[in-house]
Amino acid sequence: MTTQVLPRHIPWHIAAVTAIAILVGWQVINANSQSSNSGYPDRPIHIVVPYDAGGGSDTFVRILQKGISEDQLLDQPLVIINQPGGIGTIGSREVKNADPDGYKILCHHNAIITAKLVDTVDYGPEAFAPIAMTGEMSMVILVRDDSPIKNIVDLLQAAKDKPNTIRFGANKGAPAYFTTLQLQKAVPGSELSIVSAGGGADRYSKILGGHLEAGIFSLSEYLDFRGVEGTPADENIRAIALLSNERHESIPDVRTTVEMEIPVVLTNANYWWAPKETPPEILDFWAKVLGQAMQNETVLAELARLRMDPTFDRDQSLKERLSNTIAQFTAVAEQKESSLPNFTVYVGILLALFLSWSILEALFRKNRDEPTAVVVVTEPFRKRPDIALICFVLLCGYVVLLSTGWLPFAIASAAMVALIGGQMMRVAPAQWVVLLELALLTGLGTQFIFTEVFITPLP
Amino acid sequence: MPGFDAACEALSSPTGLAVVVVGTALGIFVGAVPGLTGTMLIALVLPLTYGADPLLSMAFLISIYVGAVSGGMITATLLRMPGTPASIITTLDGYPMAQQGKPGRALGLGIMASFVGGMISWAFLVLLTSPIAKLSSKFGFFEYFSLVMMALVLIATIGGKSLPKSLLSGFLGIFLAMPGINAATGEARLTFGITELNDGFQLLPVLIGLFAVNQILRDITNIEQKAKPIELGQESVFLRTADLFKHGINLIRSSVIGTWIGILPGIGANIGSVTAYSVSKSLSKTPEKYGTGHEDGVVASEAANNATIGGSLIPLIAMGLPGSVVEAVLLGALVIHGLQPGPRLFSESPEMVYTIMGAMLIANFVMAATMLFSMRLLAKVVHIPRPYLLPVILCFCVIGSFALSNRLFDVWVMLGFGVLGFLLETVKVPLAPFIIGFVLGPIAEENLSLGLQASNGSFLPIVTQPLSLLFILIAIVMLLIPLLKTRIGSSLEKIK
Repeated sequence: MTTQVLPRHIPWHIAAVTAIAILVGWQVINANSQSSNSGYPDRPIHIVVPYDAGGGSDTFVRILQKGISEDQLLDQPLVIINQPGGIGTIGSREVKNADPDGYKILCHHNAIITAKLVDTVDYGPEAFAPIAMTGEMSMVILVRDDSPIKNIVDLLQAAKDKPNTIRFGANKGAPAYFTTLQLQKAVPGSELSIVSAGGGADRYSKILGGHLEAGIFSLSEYLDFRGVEGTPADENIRAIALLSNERHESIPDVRTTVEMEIPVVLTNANYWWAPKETPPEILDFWAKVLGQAMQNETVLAELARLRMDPTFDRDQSLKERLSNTIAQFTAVAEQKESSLPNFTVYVGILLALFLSWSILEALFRKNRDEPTAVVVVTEPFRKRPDIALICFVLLCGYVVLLSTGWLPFAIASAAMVALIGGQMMRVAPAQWVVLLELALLTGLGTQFIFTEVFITPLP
Repeated sequence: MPGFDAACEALSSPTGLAVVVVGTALGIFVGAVPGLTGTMLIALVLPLTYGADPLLSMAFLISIYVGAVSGGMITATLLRMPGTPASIITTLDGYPMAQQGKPGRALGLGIMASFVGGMISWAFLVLLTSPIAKLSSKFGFFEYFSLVMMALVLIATIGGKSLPKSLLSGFLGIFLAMPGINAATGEARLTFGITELNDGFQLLPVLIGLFAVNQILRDITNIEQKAKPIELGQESVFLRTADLFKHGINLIRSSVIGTWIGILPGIGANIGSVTAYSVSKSLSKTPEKYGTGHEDGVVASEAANNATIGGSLIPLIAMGLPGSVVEAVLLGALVIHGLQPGPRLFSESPEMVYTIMGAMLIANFVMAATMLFSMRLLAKVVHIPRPYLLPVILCFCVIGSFALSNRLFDVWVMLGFGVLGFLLETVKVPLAPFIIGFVLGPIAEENLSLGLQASNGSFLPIVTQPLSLLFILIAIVMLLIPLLKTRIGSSLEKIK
C-alpha cells in the first residue's frame, strides 16, 4: 500500500519540509534577537485590560499604545491582553498575583474600588502600586426628553414624595451605583428604585421605551445617543445634570450637581496599576512614559473625539485623589440584602424534577421504539471507546504540560498531535512520516500565526 | 441608508471578497467531512477574529455557516453519511439516487435547491428584520423574560424526541450558566471559592467542549467505521433550466417552510429539512417514491435546510435571541466585538446589519459556484485520514479556548464540557436545548431580576402587560398540547 500512496504525497513532503525549515529558522532568529537586549524593558510588556476588546477601556488603552509607539517611548512592544469578566476582577487578580517585575500592568477605572466594597473580591486599590491616572470621562444624568423632570433637584424631590417609584438605571456594584446612593443621601428621605439595566445602550433603550425614568451615563454616551435637532421628544433624551464641579464645554447649558447644591460628583478615570512590590524606578519609568504619551497629538485628538478630558496625575496628588474617591464610596457603602428570589434554588428543583422524569421515562418506556432520524450506517463496526479514552488522557496531559511550562508550546503541541494521531493509527490507515510532519507544522505554525499575525500570547 | 455604504465597501474590497470565498469554502469542507460540523468550525475560528475588523469577522462566520449547511449533502449522497445533521434527510433520497447511477444529478439538484432556499430566506431576512426590530424595541424587562421563556418551551417541545430529556438538557444549560457574578445584584454565587469562576463558564469553551471535543471523542470511538463511497464518475452536476421549473413549487414551499422553522427560536436546520420533507411527501401524488431515490426528496431537504439560515438570523439581529446553536455562537461573536444584537443594532451599527445580509447573499452565490465547479475535488477531499485531521483540530480547540481570556482555566472548562457532552449524548440527551438554555437562561434571569427591581418585587406585570401575557400563553399552549411534536414525530415514523 505504501508504494501506491507515496508518489502522490511527494508534493506534500516538499511543501511540509520547506515550511518546517522556514518556521524553525524564524524560531532561531527570534531567540537570538531576544537575548541581545539588556535592562528594563528587555521583552514585550503585557497590559491587562479587564474588559472586552472594543469596549471603552480597551479603546482607551489602544489609543495610548498608538501614542507610545508613535513617539517611540518604549523599546519593546506592548501586548494588550483582554481578560474580561467579574466586573473587572478576573483581570485585576491576574496582575495582583503577577511577578512585580514591570512586565504585567493593569489599566482599570474606579470599579477597582467598588469591587471590594460590594464583596466581589477581598482586595482593593491597596493591593496594587498605583502608577498614574490618565484621562477622565464626565458623567451625566439623563431622562427622556418629554419627562416632567427638569433638573436633579426635581428628580430627588419626586423620589422623596413618592419613594421607590422613580426607576433609575445604575448597575449594582459599579461606581454609578455608589453615586446614586450619594444622591439619595443628599436629599434625605428620597428613595430611587435602582435598576441594574446593563450597558449604556441597554439603559438608553429602556429610557426611550419608558421602562426607566432616569439613569447615569457617560458624557460620550449622551452625545452619541442624543437625537438630531427636531427629534420628537418621546424619542430623544435630555441631560438634567452633569456630575461635576464645573460645566463641560461640550454641553454648556447643562447645569452641574454642585450648582444645584447637590454635592455629588463622579468622573470615570483610568488608573494604571502595577503589582504591589514593583520597584519604584519601574513605577517612575512608567509614569513618565504615560505622561509623555498623554501629550502626543494623536492621543489628544482621539481623546477629544471620545470627549475624554486629557488629565494626568501621579505621585502624591494621585494618592490623594484615590483616597478621596475611596472615602467617598465607602461613606455610602452599606450592603443591602438582595430582595430577589433565589433563582438558583428554583432552577435546581426543576432540574431534579426533569432528571427524575427522564429516568422514569427511560425505565418504563424502554420497549417503545423511539422514532429516530439518524440513518444507520451500512456496515457494522467495532466501537473503540478505549482509544478515545487514551486520546483524552493524552490531551489532558498536554494541557497540564502547558500550565507547568516545562516544554515550549510548539514542541508540546507537536508531541500531542503525534501521540494522539499515533493512537488512532493503530486502527486507521495513515503514514507516520506525514503525521510527524503535520505535528511539527501544527506546533510551529500555530505559534507563528498567533505570535506574529494575531499578536496574542500562547500558553 | 446609513451604514449601507460601509457594508458595501467592506464586502466589495478584495479582502472582503476573499474572506467570504475562503469562509464559504472552509464551511463546505467541514460540512462535507462527516464528524466535522459548521458549529465546530465557527466556534474554533471565533478566537481568530478577536483582533480583526468586526465587519469582516462576521462576514467570515456567516460564510462558513452558509457553506457548512450546504456541504453536508456531498457525503450524504455519496457515502450515506450526512456530513452535518442538517443533511440527514438528504441521505434518504440522495444516496439511493447515487446507487442508481445518478450521483451527479442528485448533487446538482441539491446545489440548486440549496441556492434557491438560501435566496428565498435571504429575501425574508431583508424584508422582516427591520419591522421585527422596531416591534421588539418596545419590549421591557418582563416582555423579554416571557419571550425567552416561550423560546425555551418551544425548543423543548419541538426540538427533541423526548420531552423530559429536552427539558432536562435545557435546564442543565440554565443551571450551568448560573455560577459567577450575578449581573443584577453584583454578587458572586455557586463559585465554591474558585476565583476563576467569578466570571462563570464562558460560552466559547463550553461550545468548543460540547461540539468539538465531544464530537472528536465520538469520531475516535467510531474510528473503525468505514463507508464505501460511490464514485462520481464523469457525470455532470449541471442541470438544465427546465429542472428549475419542474421543481419550482416544491422549491418555494420547502424554502418558505425552512425559513419559518428557522425563525422559531432554538430549532435548527435539521428540523427544517424534516418538516419540509414530510410536508412535501404528504402533498405528493406519489408519496411511495420518497426514500427510494426521488428527486423531490433531495430538493425539499436541501432547500429547507439552507432556508433556515436566513430565518434564524432574523431573531438574532432583530431581538438578540439565538435561533439555533450557530446563532448562539454568532451572538457571542457580536458581543466579543462590542456589539449588542437586538433592536439597537439597527440604529447603532447599521453597517453590521447590512454586512451580515450582504455576506449571506454573496456566500450563497460563492457556495453554488464552488460546489458546481469543484465537486469532483470535494468528493475526494472528504477522505483525509482521521489520524491527520483530528489531533490538529484538538490543538486548535486548546488554543481557541485559551485565547478567549488568556487563561488555562477556560481550557479545563472546555475539556470538562467535552466529557459532559459526550456523556449526555451517550444517554441520548440532546445538546441543542442545553446550549440555548445556557445562552437564554441568563438573559431571562437578568430581565426578570431587573423587572422585579423596577416593580419593587411584584411578579404581576408578567401577566398584566399584554405582550408578556401573550408570550406566556403561547408557552403554556405549547407545553400542554405538544401537537406539533407528535405531528413531527409521526411524520418521522412515516419517513422510516
